[in-house]
Amino acid sequence: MGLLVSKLEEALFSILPITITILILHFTLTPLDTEIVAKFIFGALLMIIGIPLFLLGIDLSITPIGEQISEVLVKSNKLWLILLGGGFFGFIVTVAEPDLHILADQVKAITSGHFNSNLMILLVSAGVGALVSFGIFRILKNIRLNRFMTVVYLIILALGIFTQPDFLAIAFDASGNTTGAVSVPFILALAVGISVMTRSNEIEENDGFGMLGIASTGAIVAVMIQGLLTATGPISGSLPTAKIVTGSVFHSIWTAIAENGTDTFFVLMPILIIYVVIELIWIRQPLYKLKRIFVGSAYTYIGFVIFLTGINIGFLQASRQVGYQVAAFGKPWLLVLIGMVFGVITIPAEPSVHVLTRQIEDNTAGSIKALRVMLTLCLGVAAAVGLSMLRISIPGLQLWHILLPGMVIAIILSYIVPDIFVGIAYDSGGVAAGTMTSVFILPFAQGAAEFIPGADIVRDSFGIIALVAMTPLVAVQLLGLIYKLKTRPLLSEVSEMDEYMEEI
Amino acid sequence: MASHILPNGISYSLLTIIVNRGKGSKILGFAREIGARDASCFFGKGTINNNVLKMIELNEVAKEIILIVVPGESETKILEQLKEKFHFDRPNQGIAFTMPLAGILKIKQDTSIKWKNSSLSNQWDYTALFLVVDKGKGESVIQISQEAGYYGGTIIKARGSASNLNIVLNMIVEPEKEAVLMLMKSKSAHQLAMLLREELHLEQPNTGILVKLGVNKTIGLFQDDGKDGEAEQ
Amino acid sequence: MNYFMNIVVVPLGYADKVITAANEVGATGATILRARGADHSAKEGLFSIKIEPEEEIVLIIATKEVTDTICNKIHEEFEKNSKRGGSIYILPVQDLEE
Repeated sequence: MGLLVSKLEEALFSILPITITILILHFTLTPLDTEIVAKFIFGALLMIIGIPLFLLGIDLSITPIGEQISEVLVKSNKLWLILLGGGFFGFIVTVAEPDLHILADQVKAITSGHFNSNLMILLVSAGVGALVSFGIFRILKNIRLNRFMTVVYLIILALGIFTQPDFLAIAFDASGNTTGAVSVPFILALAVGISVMTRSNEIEENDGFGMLGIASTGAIVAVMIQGLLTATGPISGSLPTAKIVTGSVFHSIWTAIAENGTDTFFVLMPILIIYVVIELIWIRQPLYKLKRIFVGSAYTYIGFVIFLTGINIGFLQASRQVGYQVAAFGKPWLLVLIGMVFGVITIPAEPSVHVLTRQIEDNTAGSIKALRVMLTLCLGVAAAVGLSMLRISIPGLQLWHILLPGMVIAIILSYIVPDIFVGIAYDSGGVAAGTMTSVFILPFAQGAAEFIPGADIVRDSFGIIALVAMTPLVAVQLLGLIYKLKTRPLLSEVSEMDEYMEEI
Repeated sequence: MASHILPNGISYSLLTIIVNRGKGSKILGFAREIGARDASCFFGKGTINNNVLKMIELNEVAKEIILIVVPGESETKILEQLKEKFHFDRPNQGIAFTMPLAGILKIKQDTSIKWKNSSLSNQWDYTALFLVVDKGKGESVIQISQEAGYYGGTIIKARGSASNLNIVLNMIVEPEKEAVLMLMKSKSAHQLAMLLREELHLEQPNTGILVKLGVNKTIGLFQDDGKDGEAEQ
Repeated sequence: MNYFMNIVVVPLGYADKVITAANEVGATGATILRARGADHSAKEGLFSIKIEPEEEIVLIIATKEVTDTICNKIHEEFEKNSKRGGSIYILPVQDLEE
């Protein structure tokens, strides 16, 4: 059963860092309520089962579905169909995303109802769909990613000048929430599929990477536009209490399963139904391949429900308590340090990160290693959380002070490093700010902000996602720079024959 | 232009190693250690012969295939080192085999091919079957082989060179392919090749290619129920 | 007829040159794989991480004369237009079905 062992190893690698850290903190600096610790440990156990099952399911179902749909679109040989189809799927996977619904509700609450949450969901989904279309257009017309993103971010900058600072943070948060655990592999497979089929070797290619980053910007633009069109009052500081599941452990689990079960069902169903329709009309695969997709979908569903249940049970409260207590020490450097640790341990637990890094390794025949990209992300997110904690502790430091220079550096780097790294950098940004960030890093910041006077929970916590989505852009491109510098001296090659002669 | 001939007695072989995914870089490191300058690694996937696993779709195994050019006479020594270091004597650790090269050319260093001097033998104990078929057909190749009693076979994603048959949106598109590599005793290889030719209609144009390559030495192959082939490649 | 399998290993992006050269000689029908090579990067202090560079492997099946011509063509093409090289390994084919 070598397969099970390797899956178990992967699962432990994802969850142990978080589990050990929280336990260490519990026994030393920040003792937590026993009930919370118990739920946390139980949640961790659930995740050890859920994550590998989910990832396996994705490999068997969602990724092949995305590939096949990209094949169908490209073979239709009609540009308008490919663009429309891509946009349509971008819309579909976003509109069902539970994280987006939660964010919309939160925004509605803090604007005292002025912000229409349903409109937000529709606009963001439309934004993502539109940008996926543009992204596909970029691939087909061989427009270089760095130029494309420069234009997009200039537009965002222009809109940003007219946007309330609080809305800026919300807009970036939306971008983090739209690329969820199911939409990531799907959009990735779609983009990679289209790119691989329409490859032309003369130009340096990204292989379809960058699409997730492009899709995220659709959300940013959509929220900003809605913000400009909606007359909102000042943002009030009270968030609706996040769904903290109280009660006995069993009651918590049952509630969580019921809720996550329905949410996940509505995320997967649209994709599956559309796929089955396309399959029956156009593809007509042999039966055993269909069976593989259905078995995979079952794994995806079960795995994801278990995963979500695991994190909803104990992670949020544990993280929030830790944040509050660390802030209570009154030492900013400690908050920054623990924050950075949180950044490092969260990334391995994020399923989308595994999906993206594995796809990168697959496409580059192992030249760009999954583990290496993941470690780069860990460092990048550590910096993001550290900077956020700094922001919380220092009243004068605002989000855009950090965000703007960061983005400028990222865009400059995009003209220096190899194209493929530009692509995976933008993708990493979209992927790093995912489910785990909302459930683990955000509550930590909110807990800290609760304690520190002068820290606004809403403003300060919303900005974290923005930073988590930004630092990978710089970190991954720096990795690309290292690759570029290290592969240059390869031009000198000693005659191989002579070497062999000497050895014999 | 006359080609050069390698000095008498000098020959090269292509060492092919198939391991589970994750070990490829270590093997590339091994290549460096033994002084080989030509080593390449790519991904493939194999199947486990187990019906329960097949039902729950857990029977695919990710593989890495490494090609290393080694001097002909160091073959045995290098295979021994490989076996020791990576435990190929235990089942399911990997397999390795050598095929003699007829010629070699270092682009930009040699002006023409250096051909092997002596003639190449025509009798081999083991043969490698290598097929290239359209994407999606790789599994059929595996299925046909399994029904014939051969378990093993690694599928590799590839693409064909663009031809005017594939035009999409005024772009010439490269068709996607799958390559299949199988290693077995020469007699079985002959039979399996004929069977594959029939079932896949290889004689018709554009259905695929099958080549038989002679194999010098192998390690890591285990017999399966007395039939020729491996328990798991 | 004696056939040979040419395994042409070149850096990423150069497969096109190989295909062009082969097409000029009339050898169509090549197969291309993505691969990575062993780490030969300079061992500077830059975090001394190993970089295994991306490659493409082009497989071409041809007779001896055609092989000679293709390889010469490839060599010419690379001499003219590129800074980097590659390798070609030639395996004898026992039998060919197509």
